[in-house]
Amino acid sequence: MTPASGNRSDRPLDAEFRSIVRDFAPQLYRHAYRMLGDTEEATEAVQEVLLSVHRSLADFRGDCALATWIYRIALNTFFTHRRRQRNQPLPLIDPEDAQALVDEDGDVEEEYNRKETREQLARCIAKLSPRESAAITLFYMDGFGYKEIASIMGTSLSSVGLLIHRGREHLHILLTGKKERAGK
Amino acid sequence: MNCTEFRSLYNLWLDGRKSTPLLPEAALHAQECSECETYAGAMLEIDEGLQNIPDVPLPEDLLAYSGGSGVRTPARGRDLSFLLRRGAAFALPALASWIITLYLPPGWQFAVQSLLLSGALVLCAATSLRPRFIA
Ligand SMILES: [Zn+2]
Repeated sequence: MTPASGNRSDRPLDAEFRSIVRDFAPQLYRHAYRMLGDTEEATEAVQEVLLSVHRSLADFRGDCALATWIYRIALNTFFTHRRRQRNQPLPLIDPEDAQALVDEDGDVEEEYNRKETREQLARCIAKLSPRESAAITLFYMDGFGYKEIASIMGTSLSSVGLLIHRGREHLHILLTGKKERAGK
Repeated sequence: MNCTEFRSLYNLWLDGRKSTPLLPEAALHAQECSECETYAGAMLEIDEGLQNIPDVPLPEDLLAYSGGSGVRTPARGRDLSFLLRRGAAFALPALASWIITLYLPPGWQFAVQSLLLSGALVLCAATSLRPRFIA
């Protein structure tokens, strides 16, 4: 799950780029898809990230982990796509469909409902603020810790914590429509 | 411990993957404060849901290159070749148009020139497409 935090080597740039594509493109796509909520948009965003990585690879001096550097480029690109999406709201989640997340009765359909609800939850990530969705995705899907996320997002450890905490609260509100349960 | 402190601590506990037991003070607060107990239950559900998010099916073109065969890198000096291709896309039809229309009756000149101009525009658009890395 955690992307390779590979170090820079002396391999020719093209070979290094190929290995970056192989190592990072699937994970970048998953991240983009969860942040943008759309297959085509995510594919296009990943193409842009790879193009930027290719253009700047020769300038990468190894001041940070390769993964950190790539994810910085990726987040900038994904944020740009999110801004473009602002006028095209994603479909709303039906709170009734999502209620299974909090109502967990033993039921033969429980496993199916749980899967469905997790898919609903995943789709809600794209409705968070761009920074919340980035922090949540980096933490849960890419497997980064606070320190790495702070470095990628150019923020403090405490801000990372806040983004993740608020992200969880907002996800709960989006899923259930119950603001008071998140205690706000 | 007040509610704000409890919620902050509880979230940090979740982010630490629940690797240590929750502080006794926090556990006591959750027992005494029903709102925080509900909050903790809800956040725990979200946390567990996020840890088990279904995997995203990768698009076919992404799958195709994960073995390495389909990865293309843009050629070095792409910017120069891009400009040359774009220039050629405009210049060649323009030149052809100029030569051909010299031999045409005046009524035909406009139609043929329009056709050639459209061709040049299509070529220009085709060469403007962003390079793709995924074959
Ligand atoms: Zn409380």
